[in-house]
Amino acid sequence: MASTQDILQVLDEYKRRPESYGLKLRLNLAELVIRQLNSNGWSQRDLARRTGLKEAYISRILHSDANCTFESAGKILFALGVKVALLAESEWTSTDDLHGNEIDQEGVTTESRILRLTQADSSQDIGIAAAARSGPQVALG
Amino acid sequence: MVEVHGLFVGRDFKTEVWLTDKVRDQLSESEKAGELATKLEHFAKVGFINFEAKVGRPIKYEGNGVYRIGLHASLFRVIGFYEDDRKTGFVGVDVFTKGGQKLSKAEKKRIKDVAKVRGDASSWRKVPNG
Repeated sequence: MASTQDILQVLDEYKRRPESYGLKLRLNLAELVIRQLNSNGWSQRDLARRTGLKEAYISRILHSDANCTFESAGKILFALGVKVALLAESEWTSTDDLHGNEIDQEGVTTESRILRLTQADSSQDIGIAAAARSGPQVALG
Repeated sequence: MVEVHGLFVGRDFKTEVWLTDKVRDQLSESEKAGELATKLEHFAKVGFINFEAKVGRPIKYEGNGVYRIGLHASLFRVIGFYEDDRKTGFVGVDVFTKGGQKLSKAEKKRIKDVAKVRGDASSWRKVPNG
């Protein structure tokens, strides 16, 4: 029988894997799209019609299951009237690398890249959608 | 008596998540356990209300105060209810591991059973540590 601790351990291990960073991006995109759909009073069918994308594909994006392309994301964000900007953060305070291995605080030269979303019409910040980091001591792949 | 255990509980979560052993077991046994738990945690942090609607959202209202959480488009559904009208806590009672577009008769019955649990406050309780 699984305990809460078992699930939290699985969650912790998953968060140390690169694919969790992709999922975080998908979750943030889904959250943003859902907020905007709710705000506009649109259904996923409305969004499909306005973007030319299939409704089933929109559904997968809303469920954070679709590994969508930048082009598709662009169509959706354009239809919703939302602009996306990538910003770099100069400091990163985490003490572990992408694989969850602890690294010396002095050796942390990673930078984070923050995907900040702004509304197209007013350039008003509406949230941070995702964060990722990279640096010389982080080995990918 | 249905017992539920806190998975995501505390000030970090706009919607706390409490699950039965059945839901915890199926969640942890899934090949996508890490992904499913990550999604559930994200919903909890942001607040379930931001992901719900009658159709087309990960959290779908099924009637009688019961909601279905889609943690994967085609695989995993958690069935439960909010503790109160403020929706600060979600109680996941049952789980489906497969399903098409429409619910089967058996799945509808299970949703009704969850509604019964919701309707009788004495039929379930939180177990703080577990």
